[in-house]
Amino acid sequence: MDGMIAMLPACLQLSTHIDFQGQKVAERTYQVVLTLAGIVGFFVGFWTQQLSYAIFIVMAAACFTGVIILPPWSFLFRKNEIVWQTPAGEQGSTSTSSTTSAEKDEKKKKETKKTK
Amino acid sequence: MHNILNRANALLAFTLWVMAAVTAACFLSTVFLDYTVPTKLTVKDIKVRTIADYATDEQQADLATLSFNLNVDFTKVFNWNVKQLFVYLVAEYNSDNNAVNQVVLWDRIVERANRVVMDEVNVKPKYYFLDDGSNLLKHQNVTFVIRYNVIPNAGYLRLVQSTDQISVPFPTTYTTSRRS
Amino acid sequence: MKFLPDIAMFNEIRQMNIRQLFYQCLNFAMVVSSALMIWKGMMVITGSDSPVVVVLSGSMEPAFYRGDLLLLTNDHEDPVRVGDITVFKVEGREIPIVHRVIKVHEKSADNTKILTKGDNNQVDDRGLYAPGQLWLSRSDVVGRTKGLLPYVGMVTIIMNDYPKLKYAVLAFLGLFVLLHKEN
Repeated sequence: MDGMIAMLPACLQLSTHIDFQGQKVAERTYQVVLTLAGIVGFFVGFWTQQLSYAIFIVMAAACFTGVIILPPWSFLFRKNEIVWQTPAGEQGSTSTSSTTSAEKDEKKKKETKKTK
Repeated sequence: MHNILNRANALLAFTLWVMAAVTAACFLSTVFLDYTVPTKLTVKDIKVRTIADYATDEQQADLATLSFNLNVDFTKVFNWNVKQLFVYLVAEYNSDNNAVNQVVLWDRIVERANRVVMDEVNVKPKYYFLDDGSNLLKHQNVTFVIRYNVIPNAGYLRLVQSTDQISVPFPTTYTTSRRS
Repeated sequence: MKFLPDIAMFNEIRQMNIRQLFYQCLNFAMVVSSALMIWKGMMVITGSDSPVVVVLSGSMEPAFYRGDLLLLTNDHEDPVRVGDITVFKVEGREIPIVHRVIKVHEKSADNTKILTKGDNNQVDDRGLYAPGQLWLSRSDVVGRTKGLLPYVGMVTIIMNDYPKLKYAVLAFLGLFVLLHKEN
């Protein structure tokens, strides 16, 4: 998917990334909200004997969760910014969170060179 | 989950799973219920005549006309997994020509909100009661029974037979009157 | 991988060596053969040639709408009786029809005359049968409807109405499975 997005014109490439802590929060949010909506919807539907009520409750919860997790709200999902190291070859400070993808590529190239 | 498309994809997939689970739970909560209801059915004014019918082997067929009364209350059948009922009246009989004969005379779709209690008097059949041959005359017992197809929102399509059925002997002579 | 054009779409596959490439192809083959196994398995269990069909016409409304999914079985031990919603094929038409049986005249298990009618139609199906055919027989019936899943077949309806969309979706999915690396 990333490859296809990189092919879009530059004006559409809005950054919607969120940090790793935010991803965990987002995933937990939609799982909890939708499961609760499913259970509540089942009981409401059973009580009123209308299946449409149950389905509408789940769909409404999905829209509500979409508003919460889809846009990259900075106060929720960008609290723990990743500190990127400066590129190799220059003096850089040690990172406090996960390593960068550039570093991972470097390590991979070194390993494949060793095995070959 | 780092871009909006991944999050949207994950959210959509999970929503579909939850909706499927709710529908499955709805189905499970209704699959073991009892759907039979008692009915009161009477059939009268039976007349048999013979007409030319290209669909039978002998090119002649017996055509029966009758009228019936039906009284049934379907309210307890409707639960949240029932979309509608398809109710029909069947005439069943054996003959020398065919071991099993079944003809639907009348049907009606009963939806949730309207006409759930049926109290019909002097109803004429919707469909022609044509035999495959001339076996209706003098028949000892033609059985009339009400069956209904419970059509769910999701799940098993159930065919239910009501608890009462009646057997009626047919007249021994053809009617000569023009009106049925 | 020098022959692949320098488009960002091919980034993931460009980084693979030959062993990983074979793994991708194997993955694709697994997806295709799993789908095929499930389909054939259902055919054996239900005894029907097409165990799952999508309702294409509105002739059984309001029971079945266009886009509903029907689960069929074809149990030859259980005779076809009035009220069954059968799926049958008529000679000359390749699309099967899903209608309700309204008349049965049976001499024996293999000599049966069946007449059908759609719930939403005014007249019976004699107009739909082959010219000269007045009744259906048991062999024309390819299945009996046992279960219903609403709206699941909407995708098929949309793809039938817009065939170019069908080819586009298939091409996109095929490319996606082949070029995307599983994490």
